[in-house]
Amino acid sequence: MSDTDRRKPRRQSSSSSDFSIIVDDLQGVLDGIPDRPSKGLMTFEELQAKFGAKPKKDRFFGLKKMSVRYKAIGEKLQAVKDTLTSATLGDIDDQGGRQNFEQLLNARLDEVDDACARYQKKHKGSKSRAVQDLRDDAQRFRDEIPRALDKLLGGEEARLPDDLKVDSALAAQRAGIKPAQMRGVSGKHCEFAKFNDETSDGPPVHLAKGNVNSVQLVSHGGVDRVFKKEQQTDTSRALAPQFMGIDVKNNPRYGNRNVAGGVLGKMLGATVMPDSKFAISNGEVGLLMDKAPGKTLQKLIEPGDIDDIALSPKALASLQKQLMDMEACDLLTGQTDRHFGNYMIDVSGDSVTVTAIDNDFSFPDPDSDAVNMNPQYAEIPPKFYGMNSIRSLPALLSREIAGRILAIDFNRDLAPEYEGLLTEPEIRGARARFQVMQNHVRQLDQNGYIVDNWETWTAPPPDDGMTATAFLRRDGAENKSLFGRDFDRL
Amino acid sequence: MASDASAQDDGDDEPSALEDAFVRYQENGLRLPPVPRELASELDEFADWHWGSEDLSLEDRDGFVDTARQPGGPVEIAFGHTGHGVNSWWLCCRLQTDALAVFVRLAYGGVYEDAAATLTALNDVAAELESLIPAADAAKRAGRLRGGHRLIVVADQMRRGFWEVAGGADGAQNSRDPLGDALAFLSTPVLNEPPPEE
Repeated sequence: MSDTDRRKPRRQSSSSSDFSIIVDDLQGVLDGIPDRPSKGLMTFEELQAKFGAKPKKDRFFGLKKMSVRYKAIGEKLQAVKDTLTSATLGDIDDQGGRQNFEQLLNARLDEVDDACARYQKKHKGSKSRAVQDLRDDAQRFRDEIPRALDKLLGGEEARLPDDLKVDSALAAQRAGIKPAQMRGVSGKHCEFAKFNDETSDGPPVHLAKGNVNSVQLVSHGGVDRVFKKEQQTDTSRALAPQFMGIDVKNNPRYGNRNVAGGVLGKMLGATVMPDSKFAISNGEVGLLMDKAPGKTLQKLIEPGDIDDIALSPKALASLQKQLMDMEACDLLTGQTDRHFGNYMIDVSGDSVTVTAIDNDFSFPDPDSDAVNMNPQYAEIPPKFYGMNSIRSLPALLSREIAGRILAIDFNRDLAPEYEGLLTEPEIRGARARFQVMQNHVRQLDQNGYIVDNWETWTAPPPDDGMTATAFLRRDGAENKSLFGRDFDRL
Repeated sequence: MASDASAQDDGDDEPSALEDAFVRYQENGLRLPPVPRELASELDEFADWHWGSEDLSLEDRDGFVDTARQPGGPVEIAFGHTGHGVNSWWLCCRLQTDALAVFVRLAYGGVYEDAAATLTALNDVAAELESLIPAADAAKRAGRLRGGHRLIVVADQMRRGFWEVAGGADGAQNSRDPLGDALAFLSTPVLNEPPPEE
């Protein structure tokens, strides 16, 4: 089996390959390591192959456990990884920071070495040699670290951002990323060590058609994701960002806006907002998003895939709940572009998955000239010229998301998460929207518009007895809910 | 086929914006939207994948419709590919003539769109436009569009499509196939139509 052959299956099983990922991370951050590190650096599968059997998992309430010594190596490698991901360039550049960091890292590497030595005492032959390779790599890594840190911190030239974690900084260095490529990119949301050209399953595939759009499909560990290079300038001449006060010429920060939307979704437990992070692909820095399942509404409706018969009552209820979750997220992020090609729907029996995509046009700047000159732009919800999002506060909300919205203290919980992603005025605007939404949720709750069960909910007076479907489609509601706007044909 | 000498001469000339657009569309398997002959020489490329007789927005549907609802106005065209993000990408065309105002925005170039699979549909729309323009002109000459008004058609995969006779009593007609419905309207004989105004 060639080295390449050996690497492929390892990445398809993320749950069983934590050990190898850790080893990969070491490989990823070790400047100067040979291009075919598997010759010197053991992967989990290689260790398995040499050991002849998978390590035993903990089972039977701890009565029978995997080899303690074997597990210890993995734990110590994880501690090395944690050390690399917990410190930022700014941390190690502080007075005494670098010394403390190197001391800690060396201590962690000592622990890896000790764990390996203990293992070797009990295991000889091929197993021992496999672990020896790991010890050798750890030593090389230890030797390389001072020089790598010198390069990251030294010199008069502009350097990578201070909020970049050390493992990401080392990966960026290896990929030849220049500081200018990091403009508008939040360092703390970079996962370069995990997602780069060396950790991908293969070369990226160019997805989009046409010369203007440039998006790639990249795969890590068998999981497909979409990568979009971070734009330093938006030359699209789109209207929305200009009205929203987005600096299209110098720093649109579209990636940050997408990540901020994901941060909000995670906090609200709203799965409609995709998780996003920054990655390296083809030597470029960009936004990496999970590839959304399903089809756009336009594509779903065209061939008659979705109709009254196709959607079961449970599926319809799930669709309505998620669309209202998305409306809530759009309101809170100031999203202006939720047209019906801008979210994906996956239907499988009773199960529906709605995923918001393209969250670039969000988080308007309340201090911008455009917003100040147009009172409607400053309203909540905003009413930007030509915007494609719902211009009303949500008519219904699920109990789950309503509870989360009320439980969140913006200043305590959200504002710190937005720092580094958004500007101070953008955060201020988000705070104002959040406060309006909290008040609105209280009103909805008082008046009976918080939904526990979307299949059985009926409207209070004056819409007595209306189902959620009828209520969201009631007269005049066409532009007041995504369901009413986009699913009138169901 | 041109001789070698004439080919050499042609090679010295800058290709026109129309040629550029035609080639760019053709390279991607796309049919160029019809350009009124009177605008061919005025065509310019204002940005990558953005051509027009003027530097007109490919996105501003509302502004386009508002203007088209007013009688008169210039004959103008713009078309190209525009968008943002991973899936908000559109092949657009806006055309205003004396008889017709048509705004087309079709999903194209997004990650979640199958560009190859949609080519036929996209090119069918371009072909429909080629039928719609003379049909609207004929209707105007026949006196079916009066008071300087025109037929407005909006075929939009971002928002709802519609068609309407500007200044008419019926207003906007929502439609899933506005180009087809507009063509059907223009193709419907009108009895006792008064003679065209001179």
